[in-house]
Amino acid sequence: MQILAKPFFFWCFVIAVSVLSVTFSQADDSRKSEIIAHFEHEIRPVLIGQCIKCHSDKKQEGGLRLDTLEGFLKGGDSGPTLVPGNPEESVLMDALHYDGLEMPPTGKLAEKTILQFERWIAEGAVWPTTDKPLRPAERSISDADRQWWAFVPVKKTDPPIDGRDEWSKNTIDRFVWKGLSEHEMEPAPIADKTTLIRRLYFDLIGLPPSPAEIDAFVCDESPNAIEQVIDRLLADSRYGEHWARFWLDLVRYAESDGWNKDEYRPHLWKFRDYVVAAFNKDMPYPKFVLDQLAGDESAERDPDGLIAAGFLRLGIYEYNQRDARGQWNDIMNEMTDVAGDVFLGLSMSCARCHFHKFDPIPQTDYFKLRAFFEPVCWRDDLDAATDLERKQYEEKISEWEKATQSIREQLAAILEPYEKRKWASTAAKFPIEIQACFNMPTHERTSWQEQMAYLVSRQYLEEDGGPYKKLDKEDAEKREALQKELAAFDHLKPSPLREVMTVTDFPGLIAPTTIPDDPRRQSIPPGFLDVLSTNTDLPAATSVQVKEGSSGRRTALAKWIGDARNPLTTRVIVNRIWQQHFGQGLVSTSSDFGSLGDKPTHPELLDWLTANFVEEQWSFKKLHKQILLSATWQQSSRHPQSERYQSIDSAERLLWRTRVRRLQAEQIRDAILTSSGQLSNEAGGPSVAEDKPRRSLYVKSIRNQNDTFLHGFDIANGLQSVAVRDTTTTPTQSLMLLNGNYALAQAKKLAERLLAEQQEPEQVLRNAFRWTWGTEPTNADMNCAHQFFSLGSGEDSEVIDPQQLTDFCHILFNSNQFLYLE
Amino acid sequence: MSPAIDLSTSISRRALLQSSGMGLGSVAFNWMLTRDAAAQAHHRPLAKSVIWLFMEGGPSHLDLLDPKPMLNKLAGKPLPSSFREPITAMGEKNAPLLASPRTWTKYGESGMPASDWIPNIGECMDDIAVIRSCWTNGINHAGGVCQMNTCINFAGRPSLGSWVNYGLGSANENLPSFVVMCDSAARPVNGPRNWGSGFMPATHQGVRINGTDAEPISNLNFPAGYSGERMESKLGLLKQFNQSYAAAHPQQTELEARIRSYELAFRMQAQAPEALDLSQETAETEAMYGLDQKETETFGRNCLRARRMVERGVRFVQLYSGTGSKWDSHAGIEKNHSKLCRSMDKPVAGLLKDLKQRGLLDETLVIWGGEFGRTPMSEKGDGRDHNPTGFSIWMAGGGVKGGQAIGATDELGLYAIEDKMHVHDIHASILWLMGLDNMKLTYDHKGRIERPTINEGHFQKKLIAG
Repeated sequence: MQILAKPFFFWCFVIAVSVLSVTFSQADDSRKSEIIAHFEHEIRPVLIGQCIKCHSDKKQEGGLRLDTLEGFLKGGDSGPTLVPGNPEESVLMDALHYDGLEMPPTGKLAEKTILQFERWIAEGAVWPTTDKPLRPAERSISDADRQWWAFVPVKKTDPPIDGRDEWSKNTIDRFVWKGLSEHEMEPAPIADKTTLIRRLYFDLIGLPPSPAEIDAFVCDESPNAIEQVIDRLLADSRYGEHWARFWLDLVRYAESDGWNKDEYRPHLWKFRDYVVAAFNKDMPYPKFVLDQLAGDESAERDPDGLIAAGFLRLGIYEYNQRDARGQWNDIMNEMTDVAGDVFLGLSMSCARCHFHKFDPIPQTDYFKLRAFFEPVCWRDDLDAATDLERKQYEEKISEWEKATQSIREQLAAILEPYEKRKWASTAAKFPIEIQACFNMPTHERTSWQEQMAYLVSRQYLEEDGGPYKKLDKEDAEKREALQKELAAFDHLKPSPLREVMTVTDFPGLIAPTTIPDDPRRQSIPPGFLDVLSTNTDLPAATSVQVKEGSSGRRTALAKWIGDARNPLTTRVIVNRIWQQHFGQGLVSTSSDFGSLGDKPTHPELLDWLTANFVEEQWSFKKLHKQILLSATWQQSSRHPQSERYQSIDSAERLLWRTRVRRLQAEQIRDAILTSSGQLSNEAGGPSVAEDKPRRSLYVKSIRNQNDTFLHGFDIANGLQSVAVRDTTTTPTQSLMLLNGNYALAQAKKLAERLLAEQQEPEQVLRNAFRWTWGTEPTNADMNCAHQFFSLGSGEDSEVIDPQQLTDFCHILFNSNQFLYLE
Repeated sequence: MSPAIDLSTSISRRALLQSSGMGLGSVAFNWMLTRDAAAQAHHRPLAKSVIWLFMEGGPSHLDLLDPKPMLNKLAGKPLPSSFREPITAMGEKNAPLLASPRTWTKYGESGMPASDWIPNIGECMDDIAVIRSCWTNGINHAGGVCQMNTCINFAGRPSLGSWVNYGLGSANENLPSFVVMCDSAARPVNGPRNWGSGFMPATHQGVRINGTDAEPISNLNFPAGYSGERMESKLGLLKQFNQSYAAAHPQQTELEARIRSYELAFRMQAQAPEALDLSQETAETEAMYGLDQKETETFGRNCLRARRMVERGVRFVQLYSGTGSKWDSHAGIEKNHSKLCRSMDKPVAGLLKDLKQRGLLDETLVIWGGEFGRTPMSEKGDGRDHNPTGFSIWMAGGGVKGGQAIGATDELGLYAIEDKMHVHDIHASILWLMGLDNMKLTYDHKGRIERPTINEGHFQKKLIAG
């Protein structure tokens, strides 16, 4: 069982790799093996990368072969390339130093690389196998690769039974107990009810319980009191508001374009609301995946599907980029990377340029995944309306169109020349090949040409103020007058249909997906991970029949991800849910199930939960309940043996107590607003500024603005898929909470609220603790409070000064007992 | 690489820092282990600090540092067909070449040329190494600025200052180790993301100092109307609460760290204003930086503050000139650059001279440059478009050998052709001068070993060897 913290494990791994590669010739003397290792590490890759393209069996420029030692010794037109043991007399060194000869011609090697060649020659130019020419070390997927824990089928083992185990409440616990008893450890006692209710609320709805809710739970003696609270909170619509957040982090949700203009995306909140609703509905995971990857492909036009497919629109976009080819390539790569992170839990991006250095992911796998997205076209012209809504809209709009036809024709006549000019000037700014894509008829375009044309046409509208920015004075006046006339018919005009940022497949010829730098430009068809192709019964079909005009590629991908037999994707999502409840996953690297990630601490438990999750119709709510009812989750954060246990398992991977966790940014802000009584219960809709008292989920997330209150507490940046947020503790963060306006203003509101409820000082203070810490103060806490207010001196009639109460509440917001969850 | 060596010295500390990203570690580790920076370096550092003068918007190398007589000869004609056609940001096709009306002076012993737009910097040419062969991928401001800060044009990676902060830490724990100052209230392109920590914990990000405000660091001052006494009584209460909570939760280091973060915050409140307080400077010093003249006052003040910062151990200072793409001169470059050069020329020269006279230049690397240069072709008649394929930056101090030009562009200054230095190489070189090896400085992110220069880039040895 791996119980070490990641960095240490990671460095051990690096050492292990280096050691392994050296030990292959342990039988020989160690000096020789060191020399050979040096060749393998430092020389061979350079020869393959820089030399053999022109100097091998296929091609011998200058009559020279550099894929065998013989070739080096024989040399070419300039004589032998090297003298073993004597770099100074070796022509190769002159060439590498660009002294007379200049090799490689593409650019001088780094100084340190040249030094490695010098060392190699000085040590005798040892070549590992004398009979075989050098070949690029083509890695292939081995049986051992396929046996990696995350790639083998999920196995549901019987939970271990231990006669001494009186602690376990459910199956989860029996696996955890086993791990603990193997290390002769015992779990922490169950947390007290006040702690549990606060933990339950934050865990399920992201908000603190009110004092009344705490009291009710603490007084409820019934054996299923916890279960009742869990059921109630799972049915609460605030559950989705909290649980949507971790998913939005993963899919790098933010509401602006990024880059320079960082334009706000006014319709994207519908995607956020879709995710909230999906959690509240307890949507099965396969459907959730299908909607986001291919919601546009469903046969019946599904408004939610179109909104959910906005997942493929969440990346950044540069409004004035003329290098359209480069921009689209970046967009497609980013889409592929995120899909790999989110659904596969593998960092695919390493394989974009080469066979993944640590995981069995060949470069073709990367492009096979990217090929699923090849026909994707971004669409801004669709709406997320039902058929009925659309029919009603069309009826009304045709009435308005009839009534306004002549005005609109006059308007069009004025504007047409400007539009023409803008189209021409927009297109002219692009490279010639991109202009050609834009100028060709749509039906002749390939998907890539369509994508290029789209990028051109967006600049028509968005760049340089759009087409009507430079109207002549006269035309501007005419236009204004006509618009006024037009406005007189607004009563006939229906409100616009729900606009949506979405995608569809290109209906025509799909451009081939190719690997950059592949001289053969071989087309890579869509396909699934090679490593999963043999020991699972997963489907092999890479497209399925969907609505006409769509390739069905993405639907096939979604079905493969959401297949009960998929050993990787199922474990990934279950581990993510676990992580949200415990602060760390059973696999702590929840978006890296590859060999650089951590292995699961409790592999049998992860498999058992995964199998169970799939059997239970992929219900998140059932999974939550299972976890929350476990003794494991209900443990206290205080353990009588904590000092000793810390020395055995400092990262608490064996789950011997509950980790004290700082609340997340949203939870802190929402808890402050709850205490102050300001939190609005309005749900959904367009996002708002941070100063509005809505839940933090509804605060606008602008990519280039990372200096807000929420950012101060490590909110995800919306630029990359974030699986585990950082938790930083910095002086600037403390300054923000202590000197910044936000917490202080809310403290004032809380003080007002407390005084409106109560005048009796003792009770006011108690309530202040209850509204912030969610607990009754201890005597020591009350003593501190008395000191702060100089109460109890007995002379004056005792009243609480409102300003001082504000200060007191402000300190409560700053205190660890408020900011941390135990 | 030899991991055994790294493990015993720097890596163990970095591993600890990384663990803070996993929610385990703490500011206590981070801020306590920030001393003894040299012990964390991969090799003997030449520079202890960096002052990066960032000319945002892209200054014209053709009119400042890289004279091209051929440009004036061919002015008015289209780019010769022997040149590969570049993709330009504004896409103006077949625009004629634009002459540079500048006069050039050869300065000092080295005879390095500088144009009449930067006569004061010209006087320092013997201390300056001009790199004339820079190139970058970002053809627009967002990508260019992003790349010059984070080594890639695509958002999401840590800025160079964050890498340095991560690799070396601060030499003064009461001040942020990476600070940014802008010459106006404007927002630089990409905003605070330019000094963000990308995929690293926010602990490593830069802190913007509002050079002109009464409150130099956000939330540094007590809330309005609060006396020090009142704040102290509040902090006393907070300490009581936090200590009793920590006592009830032993072996939870984060709780201790947060207590400490308030103590550090309190010290920062005292030290930051002192570091920025220019009243302790003599009139003579102020004049060196141009504080006595309206045009140079703002940038001069930031330059002087930068010197005070590095004196106090701040590791990485970035100053924006022309904040918000003001150096961008698609039209009317004459007026644009005249004004901006005037605002920064004297302060920059003052900074170099002042650092030198105080013996600080040897250990302070000063970098001057924008996100790209400008085209030899005209735009809108009297401006120049962005040129990412060949441009100049310069470095001085921090072990750099002055009075030399490294690399070259073609005869018109469009493409870098000799000793080309990509942004990867620029960053690798800055790191090297600070004692960090761009391939050894690693951060494990999502199962991928990340390096500051994305596994590329080499130190340009000529910077120190000439």
